[in-house]
This record gives sequence, C-alpha cells and structure tokens, in this order.
Amino acid sequence: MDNVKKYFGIVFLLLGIALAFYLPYNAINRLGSSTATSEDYIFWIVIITIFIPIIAGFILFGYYAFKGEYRESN
Amino acid sequence: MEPNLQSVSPSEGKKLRNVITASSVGTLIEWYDFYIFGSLATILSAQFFPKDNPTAAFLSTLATFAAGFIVRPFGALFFGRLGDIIGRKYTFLVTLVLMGGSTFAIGLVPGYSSIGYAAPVLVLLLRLLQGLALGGEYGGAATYVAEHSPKNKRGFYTSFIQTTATLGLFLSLGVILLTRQSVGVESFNSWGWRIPFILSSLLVVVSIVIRMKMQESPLFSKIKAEGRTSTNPLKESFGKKENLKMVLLALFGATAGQGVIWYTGQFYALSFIQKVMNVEFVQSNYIIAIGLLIATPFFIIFGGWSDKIGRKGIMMTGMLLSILLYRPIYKEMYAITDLTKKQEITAQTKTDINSARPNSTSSTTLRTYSDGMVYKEVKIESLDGSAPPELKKEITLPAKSFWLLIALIAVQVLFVAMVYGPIAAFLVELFPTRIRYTSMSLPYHIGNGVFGGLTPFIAISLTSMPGATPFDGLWYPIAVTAITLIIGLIYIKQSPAGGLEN
Repeated sequence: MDNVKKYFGIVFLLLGIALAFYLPYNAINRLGSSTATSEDYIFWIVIITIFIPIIAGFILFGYYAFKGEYRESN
Repeated sequence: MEPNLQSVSPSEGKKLRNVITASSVGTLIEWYDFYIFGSLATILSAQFFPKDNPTAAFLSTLATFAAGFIVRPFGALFFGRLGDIIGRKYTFLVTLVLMGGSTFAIGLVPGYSSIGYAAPVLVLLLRLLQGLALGGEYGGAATYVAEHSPKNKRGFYTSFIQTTATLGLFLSLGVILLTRQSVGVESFNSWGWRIPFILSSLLVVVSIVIRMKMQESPLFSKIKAEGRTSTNPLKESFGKKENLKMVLLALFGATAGQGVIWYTGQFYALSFIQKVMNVEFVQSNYIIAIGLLIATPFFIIFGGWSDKIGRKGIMMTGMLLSILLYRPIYKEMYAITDLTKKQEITAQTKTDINSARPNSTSSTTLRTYSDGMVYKEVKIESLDGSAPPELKKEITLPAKSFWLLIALIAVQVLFVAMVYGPIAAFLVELFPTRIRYTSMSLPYHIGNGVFGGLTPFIAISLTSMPGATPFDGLWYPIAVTAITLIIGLIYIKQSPAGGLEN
C-alpha cells in the first residue's frame, strides 16, 4: 500500500503541475477573445488568484505522498 | 478530561443538549443569512446593481464571487486563529453578531435609485462581512460541540451542526416563499424582500442570548489552564509539516468532494430545474425545499452510524454513488419535462400589446400535455425592431412528475448526507486541540466555499460550450469527486473515533 501511495503521489504532483500551466493558459485565451466582458475578467482573476495557491497545495500534497509522509507507519 | 459515555450523567446529558442547540441554532441562522442573499440575487440586482450600469454590474459580480470564494477562507483563518487563542465560545459569538448585524443592515440599505453608487458599495461591503463571519462560524461550532461530546457519540452530536447548512437553505426558501405569498409578488419585489433580512436580527438576538449562557469547551479550558494554548496557530497549522500534510489530506481527500456534492445536490439542482427544465419559480423552490426536508434526518443517521462503522466508509460510499449516479439522475430529471417525448392535447395562443415594454407585443402560448403538464411560452417582440425578441418558457408539473422530481432531489441530498453528516467529526479528529479551530476551518471553507461554491458557475460554463449537452456541466463535480475519492480511499486511514486530547 505504501508503494501505491508513493506512485499516486507522482501522479498528483504531475497533475498539479499540468493544472498550474493549463489554468492561466486557458484564462489568457478566454480573456484574449473579442467577446470577453468585464464579468469574465473578474471571474478569471478570482479563479486564478484562488486556484493557484490551491494547486500549489495539491503539488505539495503529491510531493509529501511521494516522499512517504502518508505511510502507514506515519 | 474528554467526556466519555460512561461518565455522562443526566445533568451532563442536558448540558450536552444545550451545547448542541446553542451551536446548531446559531450556525443555522448564519447559513440562513448567507443564503437569503443568494436566493434573492435577482431582486437585489434590480435594487442595487442595475445591469445597464457597468460599474454597478461589476460590483455585483464582485459581491457574488468575493464573498463566497475569497473572503470565506480568510474568515476561517482570522476567526480560527482567534478561536485557538482566546477560545471557541467568544469567537463564534463574534461571528454570529457580525453575520446578524450585516444581514440586518443589508435589509436597511436604500436602493440605487435613492443613494446611487453608495448603495452597491455598501451592499458589497456587508456581503464581504457576511462571508468573513461564515468563514469563522462553522469551525467554531463543530469544534465546540465535538469537544463537549463523548468519544463514541461524536459523529452523532456533530451531525446536528451538519444539518444546519441544509436547514438554513430550507429556512431561507421557506421565509422567502411565505413573505412573497403574504405581501404579493409586486410588493415583495419592491420592498417585501427586506423582510427576510430584517427578520434575521430577531433570530440572531435569540441565538446570542442562548450562546452567552454557554461555557467554554472543556478541552480548550483545560489546555488554557495548563498554559498549553498555541501562541501562533497559523504558523503551527500551516508551517509545520506534521499538521500541514493533514490539512492537505483533509482538503483533497474529503472536503473538496464533499463541497461539490453539497452544491450539486442543492444549488445546481435548483438551477437545472429552473433554467434547463424551465419549471415555474414557486414549484421549483417547493421541489427543492421538500427534497431537503425528506433527506435532512439522514445527516444525523449517517453521523451517528459513523461512530459505529467509521467515518471514511460512509463518506467514500457517498462519493462513489455520486460519481456513478449523477448523470443517470439528471437524465431522468430532464426527461420529465422533455416536450419531444410528450403527447400534446391542446394549444392556445393569445397575442396582446405588451404593457410592460413600450412598442411591443407579447404572444402567450399555452400547451397542455396528456400527462397533465402545462407549458407556457411568452414571446415579446418589439414593433419597431429596436430590441431583440425575448422568450420566456415556464412549465407547471402535474402531481406525479412533481413528486418524481422531489424523489430525485432527495436522492441527491442523501448523497450529501453521506459525505457531509460525518465530516465534522472526521475533521476535528484530525487535529490537536491547540490548533483545531484554525486547522479544520481552512480546508472546510476551501472545499465547501471554493470547490463547492464554484460548481454552478463552472457547470454552466461547461454546458454553454459549443456542442455541449445539458448534462456536461456534471463533469466538474464528477471529476473533483473522483479525485477526492481516490485520495480518500488511498490515504485516509480507516480508524475508529479517536481521542481529541492529543
């Protein structure tokens, strides 16, 4: 089980890194379009502001899992 | 010492009931205060944030997003820290006063037509205070009840706190419907909407009086007497790896999934019924309210059951069922009002000059179907082509479909009860007394407020993508729940209810 926790830790770490790039990329694309309204700007600024620290937390969670912090013996 | 069942005497039993009542009533009122703003969003928009004014519309969007997503976690940090330093009782008394005061004040703010920009700015500030107060309330109430509860009844006793969010929503819908019915739709839209806000002050005063009589939690009093309280709960909660890793586990392995299930089963369901299925306003609110009422006792049943079989199994089963059944449930809901599958009996169309919009006609079509469903379509067209045509659809359900929809909502609230009923006990057991309020509040409000609160917005944006079906909005809660389920299953230890004294 400890190995499963470790391997899934790598998956979460990579997923977090992918999200950290995808989210701002998606926001720039949406806000760059000619149809973007002021409401879209607030929505995406709020999303980026609040989700980037959460994604950082997710990457940290993956890292801890990979390092064995959630081992049965811990 | 931590209370245990063997030592609970009749007088202590009575004291415990008072603790649960004082905490639950206050938390219920806070949820009520928070939800009436959301439930009356359309009316408040017209009063304070006119759409034709870009600045006011900007403030409206800010009020919607900021209060739910940014301020709540800050409230959790601010009041959580206070609760771990000065105590639970005084902190969640302050959050109650703050919430009640700002709700009451919203009911008194003059409209945009009277005081201009000051109106939306005041409402925005008061809404932010509401979010801040809510962020501090839940952790305090859950911690306070848990620290009074015997070990083998902690899930059961804290589950009463868990019913308050749903009951607060139910109460807000009930008060709004009753007020609307009593004063009439026009008066309600003009001034009657203020009644639910002002009424909150009465409820808050009652709750403050009850809470003032309560004593500090025994576990907190003990560590305070021994001088073992934390001097810097924020640093201890999030600066130490031993605690931080549990905060992260609580968020990604439990509260994120719980938040999206909570919002899907209650808010997204209401939005789906009103906007996709076009069910009439009052009927749709009754459907949600009755569905909530039917399933609410299960919060207590699952909370109590978690004391016997563990928290993890129940929460994870609720998540698994949600992942598997959301799409079939919403397809079944959609089929109830799918006109292409119904047999029409009569159709009647009437065209009039529209008195509400100058230079326009309104044409109303009424269609009746073999199952008793009535479909009303109002098309407003301007005579000079100055405005785009407006189409309003409204469906009134026959009794059989009405109750079928209630059953489908109740099933979703049952999933909510499975994940939400035991979660307070689960969270308090993860953290030590000296930093419990801070440590459990943050993952709860990120999970519930951010992941959950964003559900309607993200789901709607998914369904409005090119080629999307009405069910594609469900991919967001399904994906978040699936990740939470995997993390919860792999990393959360299935353990019997533990002590809180460590």
